[in-house]
Amino acid sequence: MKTNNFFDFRRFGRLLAADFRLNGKRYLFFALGALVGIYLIDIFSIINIYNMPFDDSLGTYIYMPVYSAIFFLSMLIIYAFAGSSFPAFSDKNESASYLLLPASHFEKFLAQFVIYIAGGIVMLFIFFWIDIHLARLTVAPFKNFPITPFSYKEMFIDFIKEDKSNFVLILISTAVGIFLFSVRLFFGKYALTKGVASLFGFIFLLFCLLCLFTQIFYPKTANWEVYVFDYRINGIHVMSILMGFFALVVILFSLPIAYYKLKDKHL
Amino acid sequence: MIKIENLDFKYGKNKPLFAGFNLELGEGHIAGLLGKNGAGKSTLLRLVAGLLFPQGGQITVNGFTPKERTPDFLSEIYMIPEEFSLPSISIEACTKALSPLYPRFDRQKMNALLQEFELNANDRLHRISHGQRKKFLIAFALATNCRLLLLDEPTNGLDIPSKSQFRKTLAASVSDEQLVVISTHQVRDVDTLIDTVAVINDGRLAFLESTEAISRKYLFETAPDLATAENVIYSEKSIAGARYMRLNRGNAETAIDLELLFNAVTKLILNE
Repeated sequence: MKTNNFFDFRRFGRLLAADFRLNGKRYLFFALGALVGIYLIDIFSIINIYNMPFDDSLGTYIYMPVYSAIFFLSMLIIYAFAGSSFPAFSDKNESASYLLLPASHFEKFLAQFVIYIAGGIVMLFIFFWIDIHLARLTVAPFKNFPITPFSYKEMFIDFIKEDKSNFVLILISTAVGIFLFSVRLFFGKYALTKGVASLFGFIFLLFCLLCLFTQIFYPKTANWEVYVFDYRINGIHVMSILMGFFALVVILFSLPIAYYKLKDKHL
Repeated sequence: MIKIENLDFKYGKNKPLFAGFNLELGEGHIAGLLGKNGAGKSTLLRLVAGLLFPQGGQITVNGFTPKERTPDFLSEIYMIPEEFSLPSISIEACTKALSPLYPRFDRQKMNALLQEFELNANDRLHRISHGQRKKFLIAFALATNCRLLLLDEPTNGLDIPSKSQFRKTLAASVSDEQLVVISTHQVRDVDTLIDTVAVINDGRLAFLESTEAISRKYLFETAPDLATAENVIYSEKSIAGARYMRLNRGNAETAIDLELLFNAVTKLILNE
């Protein structure tokens, strides 16, 4: 029987169903772990990351957690999930079985993307909403001031409105998630550890490069300090543009390279 | 079905495992791929399955190039590797998960095979023995009705009754459109099962014959004294005197002593 060798919707559905049947328990445990993990992060963050403005209309101080920062911290849990994609490649025998499953490379790649990236994002938004409300309720009795309510709309509007450069943070977060998703195809064994190490390595190299430029162009700056020229293009800080550029490169190139790594995988 | 032309392959900087290797196997057979440890039997199966890529030459299976691993190709091959991992779920759950990916999977056949292998569908794969897991894989492989089955050391880990059960089941389950390639160094486990013998030695195909042709050409006998035997090609000492292999000049036929044949080939006597 001849079928489309690149993508067949029914075959893709069967592959997804097979993945859920084989790994369903693992996903369930991870989801439960994420629910608890995000709750703990939220509690910790609500207590530590907040502003206390005075509200004239209420005549009192308001306890205002920085929800956007808490949201980005909660993302760490989802990064761990994204980094556990392509679980078969942690073991040579499992890799063989996975590569021999009758589905195209694209379907296999897309199935992992749907589960670990799309599923991760959905999980993050749902769990964060549940956990942040729970965390507010948990912390409220111990605070003497009203805690500002949480809403996604307010959070994102405030986040972007506050500083246009914040938009770059969304790009960077997406880039990190996509990089961690692809990491198993780049590194094989201990992929997540190697991936995180290489991420820190990259940040360190970038920091060294900026220090070097600082020493060359602004020699009076103290060692290991980066002089950042305070210049904005369309309201976006130059440093954010640089980081955004790197993030965009990762977003654009990680997925295609990972796909070709999968296609080229041999054992 | 399988056509390998001028295959070159080596691991890293090691000496080439295959250099200009050729092999052709057609459907409707159970072929035994024999060779010493490290001869490249498992590597060859991996190359045919598309898990390894040739560094030279060409492999085609059912008209497909294995290294492309297209879904149509993959839905027609099933490989049981020597070492394997199975998920920590029940036989039933694993079958339900994977069977829809194989278009010609026969659920009834699977149930019958599980019964034959004395496996319970509710058994959890991580709680049964290695041999039982292997039997599950064999049952699944046969139920897929894939045109090409690649079995790497399938009898490793099977107890004596299971080995004979494996032979019976495989012989009964394989159709004329299928090709089964069994790679093994335990030649006695498959001697009554295979109808084609392929021996790999020193990176090349040292011997390829059907069992029918082997029986026609050679006689395998035992005698207290070799002096009485004529046309002896190869002999080995045994408790009864000597086991030997000689040219068949008449119409007589003997059972093939695969071990003797293999030793004759690998000692570079028969193929030169």
